[in-house]
Amino acid sequence: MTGRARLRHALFAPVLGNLLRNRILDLSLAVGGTLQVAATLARLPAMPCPFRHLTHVPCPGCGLSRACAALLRGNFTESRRMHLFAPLFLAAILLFWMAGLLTPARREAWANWVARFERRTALPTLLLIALLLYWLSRLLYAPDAFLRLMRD
Amino acid sequence: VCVLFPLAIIVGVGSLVCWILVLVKIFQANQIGLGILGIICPLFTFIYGWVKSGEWKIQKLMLIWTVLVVINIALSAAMPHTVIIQQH
Repeated sequence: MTGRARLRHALFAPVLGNLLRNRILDLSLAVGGTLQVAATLARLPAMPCPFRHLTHVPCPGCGLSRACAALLRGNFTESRRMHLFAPLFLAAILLFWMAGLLTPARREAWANWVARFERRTALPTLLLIALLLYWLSRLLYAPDAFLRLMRD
Repeated sequence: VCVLFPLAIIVGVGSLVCWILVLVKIFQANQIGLGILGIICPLFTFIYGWVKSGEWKIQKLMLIWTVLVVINIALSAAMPHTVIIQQH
């Protein structure tokens, strides 16, 4: 396989479609995500970020739970300020709940559809790359404001 | 706080090491997309690690990480202003 073909294969390989096939994984991710957001919403301690805990530098996902909690409270400005990708994170939790509660045949059919969509568009991979670029831009262009926001 | 702070640092280092080890396992399984997702969301790495723990034989590692996460959460509750580094 040439370098270009390998890159294309890596970019277009299904991410979400493969996750959706596994019911235990779907339900675990749904429950885990819901608990994380619920704890943040109730201002209780949730799973800490191991990277930020030690380095004090926020990871690409830092602020997501608080952004989701703000979104659920209806505070859109605060949510956007904390993390732009909060609606996608909430949508993913909802997706995992739905996949976990579907019958095996329907889940398989749905996972196949999502995998086909991913192979055509590479959307989840592109979103993951966009999220990394978003984090880098926050870290490089306004590091003080970003670090202060995550500390508050 | 004097006793708890070094403990928080040890727990933090341990959690980071466990997270990196599980991420390495994900990348070794050729799951690049999931690996990137794991970098973005440690909670995903944690859950995915548990689901794959039997297949990858990392039950002990996951058990250690779980204990560290529980201690971390307890420490966050015990001294919120010094340790709480609520991620996400």
